[in-house]
Amino acid sequence: MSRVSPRARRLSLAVLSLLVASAAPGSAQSLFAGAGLGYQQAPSTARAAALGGLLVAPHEPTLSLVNPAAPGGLLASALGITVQSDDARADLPGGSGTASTVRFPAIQAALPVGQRWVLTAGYGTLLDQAFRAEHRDSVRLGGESVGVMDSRSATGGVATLHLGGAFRPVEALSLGATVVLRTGSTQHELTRVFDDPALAGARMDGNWSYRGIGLLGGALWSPGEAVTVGAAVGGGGSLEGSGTIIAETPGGERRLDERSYSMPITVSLGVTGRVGPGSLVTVSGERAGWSAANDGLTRPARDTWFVSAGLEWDALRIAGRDIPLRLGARHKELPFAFEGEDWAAERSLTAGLGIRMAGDFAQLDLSAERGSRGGEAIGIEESFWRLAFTATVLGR
Amino acid sequence: MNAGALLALLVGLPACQDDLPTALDPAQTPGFVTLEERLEPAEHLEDIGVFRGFADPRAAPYLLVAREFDGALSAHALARFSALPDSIRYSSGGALITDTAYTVLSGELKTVVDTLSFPTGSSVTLEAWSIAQDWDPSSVTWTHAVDTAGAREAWATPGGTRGELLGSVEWPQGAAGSDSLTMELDWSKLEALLEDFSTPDILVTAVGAGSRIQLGRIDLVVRVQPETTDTIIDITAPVEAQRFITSSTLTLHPWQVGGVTGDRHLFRLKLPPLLACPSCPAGTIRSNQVMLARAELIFDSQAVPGGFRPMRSLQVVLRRLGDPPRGAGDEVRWDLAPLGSELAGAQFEPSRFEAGGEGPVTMVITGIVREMQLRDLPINVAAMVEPSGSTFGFARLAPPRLRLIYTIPQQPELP
Repeated sequence: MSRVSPRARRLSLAVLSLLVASAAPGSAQSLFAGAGLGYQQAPSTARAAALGGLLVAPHEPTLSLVNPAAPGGLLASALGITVQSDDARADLPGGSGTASTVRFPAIQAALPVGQRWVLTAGYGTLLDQAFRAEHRDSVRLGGESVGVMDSRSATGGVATLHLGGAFRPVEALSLGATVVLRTGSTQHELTRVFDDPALAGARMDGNWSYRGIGLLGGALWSPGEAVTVGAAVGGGGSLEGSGTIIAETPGGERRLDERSYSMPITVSLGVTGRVGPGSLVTVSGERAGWSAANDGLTRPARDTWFVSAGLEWDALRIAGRDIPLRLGARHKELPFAFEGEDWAAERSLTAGLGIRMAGDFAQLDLSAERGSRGGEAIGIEESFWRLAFTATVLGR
Repeated sequence: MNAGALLALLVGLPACQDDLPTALDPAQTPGFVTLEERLEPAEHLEDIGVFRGFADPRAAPYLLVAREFDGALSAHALARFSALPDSIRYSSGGALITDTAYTVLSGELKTVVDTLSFPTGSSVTLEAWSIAQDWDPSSVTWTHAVDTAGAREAWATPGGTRGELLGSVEWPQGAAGSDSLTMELDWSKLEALLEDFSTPDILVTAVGAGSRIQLGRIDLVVRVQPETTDTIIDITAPVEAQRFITSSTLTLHPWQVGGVTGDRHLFRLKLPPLLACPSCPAGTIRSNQVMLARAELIFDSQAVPGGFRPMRSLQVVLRRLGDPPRGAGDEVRWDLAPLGSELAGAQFEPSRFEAGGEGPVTMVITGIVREMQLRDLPINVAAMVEPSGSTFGFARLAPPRLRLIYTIPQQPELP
């Protein structure tokens, strides 16, 4: 059984302290979290984010919530924690605003069992539903117009818990599968505030809950030392939504009609190739059939493409250690219609680096993304900076 | 700490958010609908009745003097004083001296005027008369000097049989803003009335039609000189009884409150079971399911006839009414129902009760209506003027309408 060395344990605690400290309130999220089931948030590690955001075919055994075959071949237990900060600026017709948030998009663990098996568990983000919307209006009371501000805010979203394993029957092939438990809740607050302080406002509180189960399977094949091809197929099943809404009236609690959303079948393909000593290129693509959720959605969803590409090379060497630098880019379509049937997409340039520490038993990966999302028809353009840190600790 | 504990710790940490982006999309906001409904009295209240006698005019802390006010009401003040003391004490050269012989030099009546209830710019002349007929302070009325179960004697002149005119004075008097009124009495006539230390009963009347003035307690101040010294001493005759009598009384009116008799109107406030909701399938919504923004009773004041209108602002309040006791015949004694907490109140200007000055005054009762939503029970309420019996004038109101402003709860759906 693998054990974490005292030094590595001390290091992991130090990194953990750093991560928790960095999770102090920042400030933003996306306006698109209010569309459909929310803003689709990939459970990326900082390394994957630096390489464009989608890493289906990692060249070496690694923790991954995208391809369950990726941990196949790990020789030591591993714990990886990613913390991510988001700072966004939204330009809307008639104004702009900024916002920020800090989240943990991926927390993963792997435990080798024998020479060929690795058990895996993980927590990852899926759908972020934190948003706020306001609308100023007026009502006529007693023959006079009275201004009102209606607002709706929500916090929460849907996350996934992964339980599975990877199997490496031969050196060149790794297979993996996980059960994906989808769970989450969103707290909603609906208010009306009158400009006239003599009028008491209205408020309703809601609690939406989600649960569901799906499967994810993957494979990695390395036909040669220079190339790794990966594929993952996942999703399926459904997301069951239920909720209650409470108005400030006697007996004002009401159960909402339950909804069932079919979850998309997601097919991901990727290839990573070594293009030189200490350098590699990776390209990944994903097709997600989100239109399957239309059976439950009020506004439509569409099938989406997510493509990303990245370059990693050992450009720096400090104190006898290689520091891999990474560059990447991605284009990602957002699945849920925003206002009517207008669609948005996200584009991003990414960069990052990795630092190995504690005798290669700990690694800190950093990434930075600069991107934007929006759509011409929507009239909203949201630009963002996203930083991520992943601390990975390996046991001996 | 092992890896599992670390994982558990981190999963338990919420993502921190302190500034959510705000969309301006009306489709994403609740789209509440706020409505206003005005309910007629029959839709939200039941009358219990109007009751009188919560204030005793004989115990009123003021005296009323009027002459054909509003062409109808006359009122006179009557005062009875105890005899002057048969000896007086004074200090002279540091020694306390008691003298049983003294000479009355002059006398005056002193009182204060309720200036808030006296119209600015107007004036009234008051006269003080001796009363030429014996009267009973506990039963005196405009027509009768004595009106008890055992004896009944009418005034020779309704309003009090007058003797000698002792003095007169015009109000306003003295410095502007002062409420003190002093009437010098005619010494030659007063002297004849002061026999063996006894004091005359005084009747105060108003001269000139259309006047009404509210006075405080009347004091009789007599200036005397002991025979053994030239020191002048003022003696205030102890008050034995003071009353005012009116030429008429105001009959009960369904929505009449306050006044010299402390009238109260008792009613039961209730919510209609349904309120309008155009967006609801049935076009209505249960009244306890709306989110109340404001509820108010709209009272329309009415002109008070007969000279009984208030001359100063009235604080009309609504008080919760406790369960009434039952009388000997098991009848419900609403007049004895205990008063509870104040639910609402509003100030009514006196002009509201003049002919042509009627208008609406609102009382906010949002808290009461919320309570009715919660309990689904009516609330018994007393409408009254506070402090009870503090002013002579009455308030008359039309049965109030209920104005409700409410927001319909939305029916949000999952995405």
